[in-house]
Amino acid sequence: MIAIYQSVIRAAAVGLAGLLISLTLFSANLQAEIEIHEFDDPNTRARFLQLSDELRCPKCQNTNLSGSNAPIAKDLRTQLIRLLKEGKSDQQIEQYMLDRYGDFVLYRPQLKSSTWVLWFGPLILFLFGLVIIGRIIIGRKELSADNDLATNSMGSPVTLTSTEQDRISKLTASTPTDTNKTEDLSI
Amino acid sequence: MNSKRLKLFLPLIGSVLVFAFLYQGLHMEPSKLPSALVGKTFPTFSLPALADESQMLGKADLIGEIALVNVWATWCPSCRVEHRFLNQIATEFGMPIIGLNYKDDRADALEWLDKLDNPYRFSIFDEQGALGIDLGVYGAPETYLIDHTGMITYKHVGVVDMRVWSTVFQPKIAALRLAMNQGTVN
Repeated sequence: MIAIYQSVIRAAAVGLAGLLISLTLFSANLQAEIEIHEFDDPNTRARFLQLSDELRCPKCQNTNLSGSNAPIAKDLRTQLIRLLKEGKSDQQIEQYMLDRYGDFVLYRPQLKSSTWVLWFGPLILFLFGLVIIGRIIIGRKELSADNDLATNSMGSPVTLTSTEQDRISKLTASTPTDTNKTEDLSI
Repeated sequence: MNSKRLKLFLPLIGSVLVFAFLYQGLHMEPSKLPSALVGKTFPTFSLPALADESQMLGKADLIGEIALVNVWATWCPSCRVEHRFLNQIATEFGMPIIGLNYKDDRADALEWLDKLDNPYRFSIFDEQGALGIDLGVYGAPETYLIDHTGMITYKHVGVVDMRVWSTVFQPKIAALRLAMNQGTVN
């Protein structure tokens, strides 16, 4: 029995080693060939890098042209270089891509009616949040000012007339449960 | 009911709105992009025919009737799935289909058509994907519906099957035919 186990283990070990070796060889084959682009001047190179960072690969959901291995991204990089060599401006190139692949290709979409929400939505939400926070803060200040009977809104002490003093003494004389009831009703 | 009571419902209303927004997102397919080409005329091109290297095809070859332009390739598994149905559209419904053989090998493509039947009037051989870029192709299969003037009226990304054909293409084609006939009568 032991001999059988040993041979099984040995066979498994050999199989595993073979698998590892073939995997290493296979992955070495899979290593992507490095794309080499040649540019006449550093300025064009910088523009290529900038544009391929800002253009989105249409096949991939969220990868730019420079970061994608998809065949279409490779084609578009080649096309981008062709357009740069033809002397097209950045704006012309963006329009070229836009005419073919739509707003999706630009990571910084153009400002137009269909993209207003994208551009101004966050700002509007931020302002909305500010208004809500502002209202809460103002509400708290008013509340604390109401509670503080000793000072008025200017912060100076409040003097009471004799009738007001009488009302206060009457109100404070009543039982706490009564006041709770009246509060409940007022809500 | 005073306004303070109403305010208590604000979180509920807000969460219902957020829920509705997220729920409709579940049924959207982010991989299907709206085409920038719809409503525009088919791009001009000059490419060889798949069947005959020496025959050059151009935009003029597409114009004249309502047709489908189907982007296909032998390296595309979904195209194989779609191919049988394209044969059916071509034979049963008599729909003119023009093939755009996209970034493919000519011999492989011809063998494919030989084995699986050829639903295409003719196929354009776009080895470099140049027309593909002009059409905004980002993956095969893609199918464009063009009218008799060569204007692109619709683009479908993915496999065209019976459901897509009957719910999307047939109504659009019927509308185009109606518009075309009215145009010729007037």
